[in-house]
Amino acid sequence: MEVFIQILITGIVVGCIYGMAALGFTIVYNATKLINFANGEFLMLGGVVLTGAVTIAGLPTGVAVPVAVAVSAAIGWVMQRVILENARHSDHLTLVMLTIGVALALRGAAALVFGRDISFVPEFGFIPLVLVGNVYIPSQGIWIMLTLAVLSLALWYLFSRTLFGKAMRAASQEPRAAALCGIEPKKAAVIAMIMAAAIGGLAGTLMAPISAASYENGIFLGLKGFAAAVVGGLGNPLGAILGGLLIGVIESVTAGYVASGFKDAIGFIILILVLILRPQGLAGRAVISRV
Amino acid sequence: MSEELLTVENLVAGYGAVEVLHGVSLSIRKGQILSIVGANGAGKSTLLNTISGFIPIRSGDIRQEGRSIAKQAPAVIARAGIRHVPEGRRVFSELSVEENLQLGGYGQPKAVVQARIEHIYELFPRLLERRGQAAGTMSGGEQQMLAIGRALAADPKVLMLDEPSMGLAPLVVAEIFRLICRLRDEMGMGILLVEQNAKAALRIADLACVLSLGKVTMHGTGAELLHNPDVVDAFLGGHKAA
Repeated sequence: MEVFIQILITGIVVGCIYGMAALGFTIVYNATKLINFANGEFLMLGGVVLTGAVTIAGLPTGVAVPVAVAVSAAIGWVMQRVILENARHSDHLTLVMLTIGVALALRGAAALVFGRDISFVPEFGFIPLVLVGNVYIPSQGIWIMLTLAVLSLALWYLFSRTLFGKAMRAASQEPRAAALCGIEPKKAAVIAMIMAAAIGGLAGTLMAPISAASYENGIFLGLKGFAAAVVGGLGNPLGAILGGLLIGVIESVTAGYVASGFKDAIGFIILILVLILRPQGLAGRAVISRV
Repeated sequence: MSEELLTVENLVAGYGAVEVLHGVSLSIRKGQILSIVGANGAGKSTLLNTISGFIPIRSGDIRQEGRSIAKQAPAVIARAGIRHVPEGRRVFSELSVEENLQLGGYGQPKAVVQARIEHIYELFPRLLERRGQAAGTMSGGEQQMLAIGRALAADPKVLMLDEPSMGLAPLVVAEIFRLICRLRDEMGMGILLVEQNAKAALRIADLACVLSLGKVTMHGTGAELLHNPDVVDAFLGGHKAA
């Protein structure tokens, strides 16, 4: 039982990271109906910029984390303004290819700037690890869970309590009617991308101390986040978080009781099963589209 | 005559290779209803979508109080006070009635918008009853009222209505048309009304025109067109309707 709970906690912590990656996909998808395959690179960037800032520049963690988040957010902003906005009249597939291109470019740039070595940073500290019986919750795990909790609350507040957040929802539901209300769809798209990039960057910094930062991390984090967003029901922020937690926990249970080699396959097996059995996602509502 | 709020001059526009509007001219004045009637596919909705900035114009001009708005983005035109209530209402279905109205006044001072919303509730008491309800769960007539209310929340100078009677019961249509007259009389708005329900649209119109295959083929006062034999034949169901 204790072993199971320990495995569960590990899964939840990893699942929180996947959930944050999935939130990025969801927020950008809601604003622009685009799947941003560069989203995983924001997590990669958070990690490598944090390690760079700590090990090369010698910044304390408390400064290096905001720097890493800001760098990631700035890159999201540039990506939207310079690349996607100028190509907005292209067809959908072209835009998706562009995001893949951006992902590869960021990966290459990170390898050039920060090198190809895997690097570690110390844990954030301050929060002590919690020991309940023989089950322990690591300090960094508590940081990760708390961050996701605060982030969810902030996003809930933004999208359901502020006019600005409601305008973003309106622009995603009825883009034309929103424009007729004076809401700029371009602005909503930029803000969505900055939010996704900042959340991704933050998730990347949080996981850097427990699973080394490397320029290669973006692809698998992106795919896991994408799977989580789809499993939860694409476009649904709560579903994104639940999807992330589900994949994290099932991966962890698989690694603990079956074999860790199957861990990565299992996330995608879940994705395939959900797409076959419940295509609208676990938290999604059935969509009836008029032809 | 009072001032021209919106002037459309020799407007040519269309989609891709297809030209839909072949030189349309019209103007809307303060406190006047201009009704545009015409068959399906005559270009009525295209005209409104072009004025709103969704369709690029090929030649001609659109001016708001003398200033060209022909190349502006839809959100800019909306903020300038030309509000388009689109065909099919397009309310934000997941948001509440009140939230829909608040978004209608997006970008304007909160207190001012809230005062306007109170006034909108006086015009549409039904919306007040349903202020907390999700817009998508309301009836078609209520959604139409909300769509108009959402445009009014910005206190527009020109209101453009695309088929407001579509799919509604006759009693509801009458209520909406009475309200359109009140907006003209009490608030002095310039109203551009596009309708397939030609008889109702011509009855309340100060000025009217017939749009046919992308051209204005007839124009006059609402009463003139209502009694014009050609209009009667084409849109008002023959001789019975006069």
